[in-house]
Amino acid sequence: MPESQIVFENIIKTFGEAVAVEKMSFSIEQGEFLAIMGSSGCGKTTTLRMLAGLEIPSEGEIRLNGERINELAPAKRNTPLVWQSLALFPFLTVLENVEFGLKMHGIEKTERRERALKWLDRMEIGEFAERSIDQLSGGQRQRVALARALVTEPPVLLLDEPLSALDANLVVRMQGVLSKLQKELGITFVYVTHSQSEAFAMADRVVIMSKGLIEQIGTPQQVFREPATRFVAEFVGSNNIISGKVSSKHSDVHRTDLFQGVPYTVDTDLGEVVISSGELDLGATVELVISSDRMDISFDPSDLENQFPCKLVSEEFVGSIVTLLVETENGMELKIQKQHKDIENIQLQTGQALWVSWERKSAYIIPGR
Amino acid sequence: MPSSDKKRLDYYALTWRLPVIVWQVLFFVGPLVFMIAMSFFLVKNYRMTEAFEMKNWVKMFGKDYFWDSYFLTLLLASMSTIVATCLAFPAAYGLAFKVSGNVRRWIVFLLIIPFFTSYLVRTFSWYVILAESGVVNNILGVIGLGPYTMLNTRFGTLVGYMTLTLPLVVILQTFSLANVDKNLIEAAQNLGASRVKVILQVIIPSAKVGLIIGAVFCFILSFGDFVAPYYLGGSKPPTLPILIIDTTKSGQQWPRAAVVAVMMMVTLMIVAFTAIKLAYSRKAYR
Repeated sequence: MPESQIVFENIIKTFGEAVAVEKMSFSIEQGEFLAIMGSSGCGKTTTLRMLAGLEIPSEGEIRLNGERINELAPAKRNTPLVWQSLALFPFLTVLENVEFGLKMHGIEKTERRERALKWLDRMEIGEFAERSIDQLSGGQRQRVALARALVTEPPVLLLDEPLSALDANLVVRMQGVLSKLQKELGITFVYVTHSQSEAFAMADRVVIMSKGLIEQIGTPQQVFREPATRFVAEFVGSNNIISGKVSSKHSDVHRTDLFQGVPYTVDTDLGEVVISSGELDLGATVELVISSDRMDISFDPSDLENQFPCKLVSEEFVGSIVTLLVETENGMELKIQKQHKDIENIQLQTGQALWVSWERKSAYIIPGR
Repeated sequence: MPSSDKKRLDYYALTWRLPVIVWQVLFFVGPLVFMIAMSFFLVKNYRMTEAFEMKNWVKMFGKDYFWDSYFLTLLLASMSTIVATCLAFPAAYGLAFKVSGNVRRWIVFLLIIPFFTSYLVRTFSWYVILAESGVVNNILGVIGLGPYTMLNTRFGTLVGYMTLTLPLVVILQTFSLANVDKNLIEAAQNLGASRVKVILQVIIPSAKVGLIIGAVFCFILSFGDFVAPYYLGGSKPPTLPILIIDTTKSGQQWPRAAVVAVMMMVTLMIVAFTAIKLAYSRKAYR
């Protein structure tokens, strides 16, 4: 089997005493849109910079198309980067900015002009070719940065939080532009971001990093619904995480339950919680991850399982989705997300007594370490 | 009432600005106007008399020695500017990019130390080094070279100019290079620029304003300097500052000296204005 386009093998990067990346191994396939996600200082930007040659790994090996590139000078790799600050040259015109890479590769004037103009047209900013950078809007600059990076027809494009300076509407528009470009060009995009929505909207696979370590690699659906670690469950989505100990396995397994796994009872701070899962050891510690959109509230108790009394602490309205924060009797806070249209007719008051519940199959189980 | 409030504020601000304005008018604008007026005065029986005649201007412009001085001074100051800018750049580049901020601060401090000593003293110290029996010729003599005449030559003048300007130019260049956006340098490398191309295509254009300001300072200081060409350059032919002194000494020709001074002012203004315009020029306007 041929090797993946980009391979990180046991990469370690230290800056003096500080460890930025700790023993990381993963690979990126040709034509893939990979997002590297994590909070600031997790090592995601360092990872990208190592790929661009702007940092040299302390240990391990990075391979591009099967060749070791650890020490290859940045100018010798064709791995353009789109900076968070965009790093456009303020002393050059839009056209000259886009021409820059071609000029450095020794392409003669008429050809590079032609190729640069073609890319400006493709990015729909051809009319601004002769302008200076400070005469453009944020979105237009973004397009110049993309054209400048892509004009040399690289096999890989690296992007370091390129949309973080744009306003929300523009971000969504540029996400569309980026996705479309990546599909049309068929080249690999490596996209570093702290934004879940950007990563999920565009990426084929997502790498979640924390403190220099990879926590999970998977499709957006996988990291969202099946978080591998407690960190991922807290970082991605809006989850309630409840720790507990497996106390008993149910013997009265119905046939229908078998499709969803075996029911167990877990002792948690809330009380006994019923889950359905694959094989678990009795006495094992587990983390139950229940997405806040899979929790329900009601005014009165019913015969549902996993039902606990609570009272409403706050209600946060952010457009079409409402997040309710409730506190259970033993002081645990749980988040519940509802569509605004579903609860707009219910009169909820802070401090009101409610019941929170969820189905046993809604809890995703992370085995304790 | 709002209007009277505003008036009171203006008086307040004016009070604070007044000392500077008075100082500038008394000691800068006043003398300048007087100097320009003086260039039209006449000297009769070794005494200056008020007049408005073009005689001094016609006289000076008609003399070859004035134009010799003028172009020599222009040439020497230009050479000084080019040499200082080229010598300072590698040093400033190293200070801006190759050393830590702490080392940079110490070296900039060391560069300020020469200004603690009188420029005249520093110039005289070159005698010991550049004289025919000086340090340099002694060392060269060991390997069978020389002795070379370095004092009373244009080389000597340039050494003097460097003594005056080089530390300042290095400091100005260092600060402007240190402010170049590091992202731009990385972006250029990322787009395939070699080390030399990064310097030529990104660092120099980014630091253009600071580099030009450094060069302008060097030109102004060299153009108006009297010490280096007089003591190290031998003053033959004299540069304009020396010409001013000579003119005032011979026959009390203050008005003719004023002509030279006005010409120097005009030249410096043109140079400074052109340089500043160049520094802030932009390729793209539309």
